[in-house]
Amino acid sequence: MGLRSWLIAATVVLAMLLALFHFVDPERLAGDWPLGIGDQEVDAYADLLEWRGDTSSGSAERYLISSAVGACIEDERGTRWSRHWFEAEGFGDSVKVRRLRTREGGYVIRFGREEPFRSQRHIVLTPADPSSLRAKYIEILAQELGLIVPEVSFIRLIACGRDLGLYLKEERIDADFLEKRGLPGAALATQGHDAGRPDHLFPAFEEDSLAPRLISARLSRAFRARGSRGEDDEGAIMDAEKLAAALIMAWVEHGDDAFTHEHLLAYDWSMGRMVPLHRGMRTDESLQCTTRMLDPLTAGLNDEAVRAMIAERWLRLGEEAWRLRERFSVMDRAWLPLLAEGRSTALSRARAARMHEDLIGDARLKMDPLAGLDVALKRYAGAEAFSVGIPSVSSSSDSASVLAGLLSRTKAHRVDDTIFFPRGRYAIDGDLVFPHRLAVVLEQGARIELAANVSVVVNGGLRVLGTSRNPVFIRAKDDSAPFGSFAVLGEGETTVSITGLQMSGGREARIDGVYFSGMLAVHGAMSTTLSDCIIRGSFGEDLLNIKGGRAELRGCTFEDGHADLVDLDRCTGSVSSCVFRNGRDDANGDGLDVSGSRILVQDCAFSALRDKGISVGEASQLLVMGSRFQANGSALVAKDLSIAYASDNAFIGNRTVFAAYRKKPIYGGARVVRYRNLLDANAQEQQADELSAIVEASGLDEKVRRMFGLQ
Amino acid sequence: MSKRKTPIVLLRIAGIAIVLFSLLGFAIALGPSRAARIAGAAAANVLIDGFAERPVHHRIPVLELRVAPQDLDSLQADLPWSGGEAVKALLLEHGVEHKARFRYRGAYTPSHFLGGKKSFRLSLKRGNPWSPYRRVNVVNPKAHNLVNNHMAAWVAGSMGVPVPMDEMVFVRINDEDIGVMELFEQVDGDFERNRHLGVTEVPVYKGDYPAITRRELPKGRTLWADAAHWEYASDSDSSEAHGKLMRLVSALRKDTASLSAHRDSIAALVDVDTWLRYEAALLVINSTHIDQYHNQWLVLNPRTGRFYPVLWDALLMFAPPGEPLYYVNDAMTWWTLRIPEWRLKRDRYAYEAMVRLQREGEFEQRLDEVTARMRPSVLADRNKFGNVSMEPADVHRVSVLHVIGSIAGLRASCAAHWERTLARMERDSVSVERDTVLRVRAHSEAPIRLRWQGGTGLLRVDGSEVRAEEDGQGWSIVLHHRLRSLSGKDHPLADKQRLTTDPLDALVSFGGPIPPSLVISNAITDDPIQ
Repeated sequence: MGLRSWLIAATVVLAMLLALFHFVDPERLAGDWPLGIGDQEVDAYADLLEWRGDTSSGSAERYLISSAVGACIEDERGTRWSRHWFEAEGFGDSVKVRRLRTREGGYVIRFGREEPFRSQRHIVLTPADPSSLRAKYIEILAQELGLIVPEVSFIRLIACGRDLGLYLKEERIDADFLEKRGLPGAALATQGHDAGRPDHLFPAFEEDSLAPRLISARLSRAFRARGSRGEDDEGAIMDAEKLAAALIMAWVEHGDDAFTHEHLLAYDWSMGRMVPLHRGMRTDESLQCTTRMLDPLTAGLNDEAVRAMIAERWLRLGEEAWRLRERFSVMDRAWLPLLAEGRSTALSRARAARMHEDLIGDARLKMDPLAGLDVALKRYAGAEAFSVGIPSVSSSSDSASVLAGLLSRTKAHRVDDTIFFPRGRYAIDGDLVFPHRLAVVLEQGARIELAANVSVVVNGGLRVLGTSRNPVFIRAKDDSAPFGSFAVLGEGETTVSITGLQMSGGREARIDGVYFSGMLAVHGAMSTTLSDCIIRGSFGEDLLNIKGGRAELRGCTFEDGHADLVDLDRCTGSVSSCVFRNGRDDANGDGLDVSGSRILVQDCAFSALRDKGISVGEASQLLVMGSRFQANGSALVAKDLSIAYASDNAFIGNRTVFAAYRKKPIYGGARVVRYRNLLDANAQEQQADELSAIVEASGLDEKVRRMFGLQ
Repeated sequence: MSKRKTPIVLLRIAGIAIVLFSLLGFAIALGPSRAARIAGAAAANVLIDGFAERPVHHRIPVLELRVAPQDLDSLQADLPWSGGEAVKALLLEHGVEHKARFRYRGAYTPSHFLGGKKSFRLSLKRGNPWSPYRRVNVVNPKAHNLVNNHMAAWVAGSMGVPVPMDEMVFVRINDEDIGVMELFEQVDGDFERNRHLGVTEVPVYKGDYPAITRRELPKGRTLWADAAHWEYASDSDSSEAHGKLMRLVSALRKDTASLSAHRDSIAALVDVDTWLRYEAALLVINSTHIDQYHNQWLVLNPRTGRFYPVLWDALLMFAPPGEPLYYVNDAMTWWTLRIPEWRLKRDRYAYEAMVRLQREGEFEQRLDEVTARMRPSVLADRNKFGNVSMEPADVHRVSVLHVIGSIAGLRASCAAHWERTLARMERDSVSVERDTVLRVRAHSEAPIRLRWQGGTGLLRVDGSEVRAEEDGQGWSIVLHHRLRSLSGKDHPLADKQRLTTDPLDALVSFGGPIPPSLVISNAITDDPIQ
């Protein structure tokens, strides 16, 4: 063959390639190629041959990491943190950096506890390219399904004196991250799913020393007693709604390999449940085997309620797919020009469209996630051996005998799924945990007397039917020996209605893996109403603690607590005509402590509270009207991204009237808006740090009124 | 017409002659069989394994290590005695260097330290890629099929027996392929912590050959003869555990105390259910590699305060074919088999497992998955070393043919053992005569269960009064066979004992007519006997 033949052959091939990249629809170019041709080869030819001229670029935020001479982050190969200087828009501080252990080329940056970067303690950076946009879509999907997920964005990393390129930025899931998302104090754990791996038998907790033993015992009991469902005699171990969402995400993200990667979970001490979280995939490795560990996550597939939720959520996702596709497109417009970095945008866009299709395209939406998720589930790796010695029932099962004793000895009786306590005295000498979904009614004149350290947990609705004249009492059997907690652990639709209750002499308790900080505690109920109650004299953290749902407190007196009187966490609702006072010398708490909530306070009195009359924290909103604050340490304090509005109140003889500051560095400053109020004989009118503000306004505007449901 | 021989042809002839002479020399020195095996294995390695494509995309984890070459040289120069000496190393994962300590291991087994694929142990820090495990062994698999021990651990783990984490990995040291090896957890005080059952260390005892302190291999000790023969392998307080171990050793001693006294003493010191699963796993795995001298671990269960065993280095089908149902691995096995109800429970666990593994195809499926994952790595491994003859020192290069053949052999021997054992358990060579009394005669090995409803549950078996057990379905008793030693030895501490069952011939009197509801069944399989 002569030179001419070679030239003709080369020209023909070049012409074909030119035609291919010039005329063929980019969607076809972005498709799957035969013979092992990958995206990188296609990109290389496109760079060389494409004439469409649709390349574009964008600018990402720059993160600059400066290092001492010879200490470039790229040169660091070990697992240890090294100190560097970090700069981003509006931020500069000394930080610690280390290599990401689970992905090549990634870094973890740790910011100082006192100076987090935009409320983030840790961020994870991994090298990005146009395919990284999938992580953004996944974040949107996970959010849509109600999962807790860190935000994903893209930045340009400048380090070692040069541009290292684009990186995907994600907040690392840690204790601070969980606190910001309403899971303060939750214990983080990972769960692998290989049935043959001993370390995948139980969740691996990172830092909590109490949770492993508790959860391994509950899971052993659940799988032994209830077959393959993740539920023991204390109820479901996982948050069912989030579990259904996590299973859908696992399937959407990984398809048949849904359980080849570890999942992240958080144990919520306030509910005694594990909550699945979602984070970006860290490794590409996957173990190909068909037998998966029966664990708290996969057990959801054996639970009919969870399966029904999966089917229902998937259907709903199908109906909402158009909206999600629009959100994906917005992300494409925002990030693709940046991620394509001067390459063919058409090709990148075509690839992005394929990703849309893969995640929520018509073909995908016609599939059944349950069919994709169902795999053989086993507990191998010696599981049976490790359940030896674990009692077949939880400690709370002793309650069965306590309850049986009460039912046989007293007038307490059961009608259908409700236990009634008519007028009379009920001495309870051991922890009493009521069976799940059993409602409890305390009728007028019922007197509950609890022995030292004894707690009562109602796992269903609670109605207390006292009146001011004919109250219901809950008291310590011995005034000098406080009981634990009288608590309600709710599920979604649970309602709690308490009237005419007089309660004293308790403290706090940890029962079967749930921590109740209140002498009277209501966790997870849909609505809680207290009226005409007198709650006083506790020896623990809170007199009353309500976590979640709607809270209405009317005409109640809260007094003489050891620490805080009323603590409302992540609630909406109102407090009206209530009295908060503390005459104890050893007390140093707040009257009303509000976190992550929106609360209207009207016509209340706060007096002699050594710390704060009202404390508003963790991004709460509170409007206080017509109330009286007298002789308190601080009358009204807003913290940590919260905003407090005060109108028509009287502030008399307080040390400080208004204060606003950042307490937890992961939050920002706070704001107090003062309207017309009466101030008299206070030592200090207001106090704010440099991140916060206390502003005066002339009159309560309509927007604020509407926010709190006022006409 | 003859052609003149060229120099190249002459050189070829000379070369062939040299090879033939060297073969002859080896044949004379080693014997023809050994020489042929060594030469054949080497030739197959060169001729067949060389065809593998590169680069390879591994489907098993790749263990990438950096060890200073001079450190490796100095350790290798003094093998196996350098086994106690560790040097610094780095484990690379996703571009991150994890600090490690590296040492060679396995002085008792030449395949660990001879040849080009040497077994070693890594000690790692927290947060390492194999976390929570901090001490792992990486060994040259003993069998040509590479997966023998890996599959044994999987089988036992599936039966509820504590096993170490065990994974097949592809090892590279200093950018050089070492090949497919087996990585498994070193059992120590972190055993429960590694399973996320707690956060503190637990007492652990190792029952193995004595630690090497001089340049010679110490003699093995009979582990259950003395608590001092067990080595403490945890940093937790040992005082309570040691007392229990001494009591357990004492309970296993053959003396004048009754069988039930021994049973109760043992039951107070070991998690019986776990131990019976372990004994069942030994029968299913068909291994004699766990014995009176080595490969034993005891972990003190913090939930029960009793010991449980860990299956270690069991080697699937490491026993002559056709072993009896009742092979005695060690003193614990001896007592387990002597106590009829324990023996029955062991047999039931073994039966359930073999049905699942063999009849339902779970073992084949798992082995297929494991081999599919390993395939690219095995093909890429040009450094396969193994025993090519029965001589322990004959550790030489082997080829992918050895691997394929050995995997086929493993499949066949597992299937044969399990079918044979299932058949023996299912056999019901039983005759029943019903008169005023019931006479049950059985030549098959399974015990016989009698179940009936009504009555008091009191009856006489061979003249002795017996109280039947009551369960939800009525009364039941089990007629057990007597065990007899095949080898004449009959002592908890004797080596390699084999027990067999005597035929059963029992007269059962119900104190009245035979209950019409009486059902006779195989006590292992629960199948009714017609």
